[in-house]
Amino acid sequence: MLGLAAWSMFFVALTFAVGWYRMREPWPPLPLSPVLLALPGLPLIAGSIWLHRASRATYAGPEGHRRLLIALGGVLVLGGLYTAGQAGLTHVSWWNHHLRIPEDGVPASAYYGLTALHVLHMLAVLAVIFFSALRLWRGGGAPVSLRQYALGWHFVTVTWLLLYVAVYLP
Amino acid sequence: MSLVSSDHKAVARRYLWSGLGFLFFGGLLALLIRWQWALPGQPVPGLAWALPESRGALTPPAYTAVFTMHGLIMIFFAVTPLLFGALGHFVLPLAIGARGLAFPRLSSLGFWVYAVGGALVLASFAVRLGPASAGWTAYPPLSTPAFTPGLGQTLVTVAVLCAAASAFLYGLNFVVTVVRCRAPGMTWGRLPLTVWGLFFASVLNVLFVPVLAAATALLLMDRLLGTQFFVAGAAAVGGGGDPVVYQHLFWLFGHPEVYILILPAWGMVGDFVAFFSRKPAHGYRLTAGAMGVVTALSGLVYAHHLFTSGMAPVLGRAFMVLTLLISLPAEVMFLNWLMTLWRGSVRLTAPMLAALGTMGVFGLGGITGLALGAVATDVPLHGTLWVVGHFHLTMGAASFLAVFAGLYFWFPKMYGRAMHEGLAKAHVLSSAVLFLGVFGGQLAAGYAGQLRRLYDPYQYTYLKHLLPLNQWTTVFAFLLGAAQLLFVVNLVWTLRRGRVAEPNPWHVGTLEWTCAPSPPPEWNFHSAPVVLRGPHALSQPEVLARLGRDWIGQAEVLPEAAVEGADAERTDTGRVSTVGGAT
Repeated sequence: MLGLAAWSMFFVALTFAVGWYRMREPWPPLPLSPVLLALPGLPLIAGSIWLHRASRATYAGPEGHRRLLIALGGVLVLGGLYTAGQAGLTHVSWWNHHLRIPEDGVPASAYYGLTALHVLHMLAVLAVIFFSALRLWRGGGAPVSLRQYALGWHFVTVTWLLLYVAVYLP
Repeated sequence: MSLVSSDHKAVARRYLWSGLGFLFFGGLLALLIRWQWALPGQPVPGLAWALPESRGALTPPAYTAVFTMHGLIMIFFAVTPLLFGALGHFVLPLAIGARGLAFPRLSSLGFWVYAVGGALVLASFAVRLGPASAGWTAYPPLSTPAFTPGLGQTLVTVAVLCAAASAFLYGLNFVVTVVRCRAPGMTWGRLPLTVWGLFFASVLNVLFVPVLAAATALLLMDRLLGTQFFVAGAAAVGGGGDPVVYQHLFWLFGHPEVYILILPAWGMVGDFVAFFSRKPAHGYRLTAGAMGVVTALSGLVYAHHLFTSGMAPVLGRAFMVLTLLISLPAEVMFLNWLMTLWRGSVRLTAPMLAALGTMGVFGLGGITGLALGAVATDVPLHGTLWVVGHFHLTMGAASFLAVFAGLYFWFPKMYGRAMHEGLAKAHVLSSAVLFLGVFGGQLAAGYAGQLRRLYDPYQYTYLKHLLPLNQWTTVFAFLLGAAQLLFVVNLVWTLRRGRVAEPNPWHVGTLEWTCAPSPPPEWNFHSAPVVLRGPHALSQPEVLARLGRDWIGQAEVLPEAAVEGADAERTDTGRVSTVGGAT
């Protein structure tokens, strides 16, 4: 918890940098509509709610084991959707709308660079959940801390909101 | 020495040896810089193998790389790891009565991340175009591929990211350990000042190291992916980036980093001054509080590094006021140290001499820093060696002497052998005096207008007369380097044939000396200590009367009080019956 709170300074610093550029001159709209750019956020928010509810449930016995696996599988799918969504949108921006670096300056750099940094954080959270699910599926007795995964996921969701406001909105 | 153990003492030893190695290497690079300023363009004896084309003389690109790598290695790979990695890892759990750090595997992981960074730094010397050469701050656009296209700059940037990750990990570990793992009875008011210093510095680490990581991540993307965060006007559409953003991000980390390096040093000085004056620390709460105020203010003063970057005058004035404000708690602390010394039974042991040396060089560094905190005096001095002299006194000399104060103090605990006191004193005294010679010379040259990054300052007529001053400064620097042999000889001799240390050679009451053998076992204490008093319970009349000595352990029960008092204390371990040391 403390670590994530402290690490939020990483995104605060990135937002500070983008804020600096935005104060200097008008921030041009990205070639994709803000609504489209918001779509990958939906599985993130859904994952936050899912994990929050899942972390409050109890998982006793074989049935609980199965439900826990489903919960973890569900968030993995949602995380995959988010990652695929961001990859798809950046792909379309680059190839269909020709938003290029370095030609399109700081906005393009911020869009691609900060999206990539954020997705890296998502992948880190997904990796932890994936290996935990794998151990559970193989019958390992290691405890699954849904509460910690939920904290990590909420962190990624909140920082995505920061990213959306700072970079994606014109 | 186990390379995989996650025991905090084993991790500390790993940091100690790597930190000392990098200190040696960074010191050699410093001597090369000094050589160039004393004998510009002259071949350095023994360096022809590395620079065959110039027959061993530093060329301008080599000089730039040398001063870049000197600063970077000293800050990220020598002094910080020695203070936190070696002394912090070793002392902190022992001093609070914990069995280990809160996350042992995290501390081991932190070391290996640091080691990868160190390996990258060393590897950067072997690649084409050499290591980084954009200054230790890696300001863009110098650090972008346009000006430093070599792989070395990239490797070093990744290495800094590794050092940052390592610092974040141990910072987090230290904060959680102090908050959650203190022994019963170890209230906040009974923590040694060293622990307070490490705690506050760790808070700064976890808050501001991510900012450095963000700046470095953006810089790496500029170098590797072609983004344009820091390259001004490079893009045809949409505007280019802005190198000043990097400066803001860097110093938002960089100025707290100054306090990250000095807070543990202040803590140690506070403790050692009390221990070796045989008195409780004067104004213990005020000293700890002053360190807290400095910690709180340290993130709000960073922009005084940017007075000459064209910032708005109103911002300059605001940051000037904040910067000058931060000197007030520092003065409170300094006065408390002096008051502790006042009429104390001062014992000039090696750790005490090093602590006094730290006070001296830090005091001088602080005073010379006032001129850089005020806009009007910073503007003419900013580009000069005055800045170099100032921060070397505060970040370099003070931290260096504090490292050795701590090392001489805790070495018997680390290895169970006592270092030779005479050699240690000679090392500390000569180092302190020579530091004043070297950095005093830099201050004088800076005041005379010598610009701080010039390969050959004497190409300017108005600086030609500074050659003798620089040559004398170089003599002091080489003598300083030679003085370190005293430590090396002492270290080697002690490890091979040093006498076995007494259980409590300094006659102090802190837990590591009174509750754990030297060296401590894996779980530190045979039984968990129950703390009864502060760390500086020295020269207390009732202790003298009942025990016949002037110190008492933090967890030691007074004989007469043992029967009726012990039970009461054990059931009331959270009560603050003492502050600092007074019983």
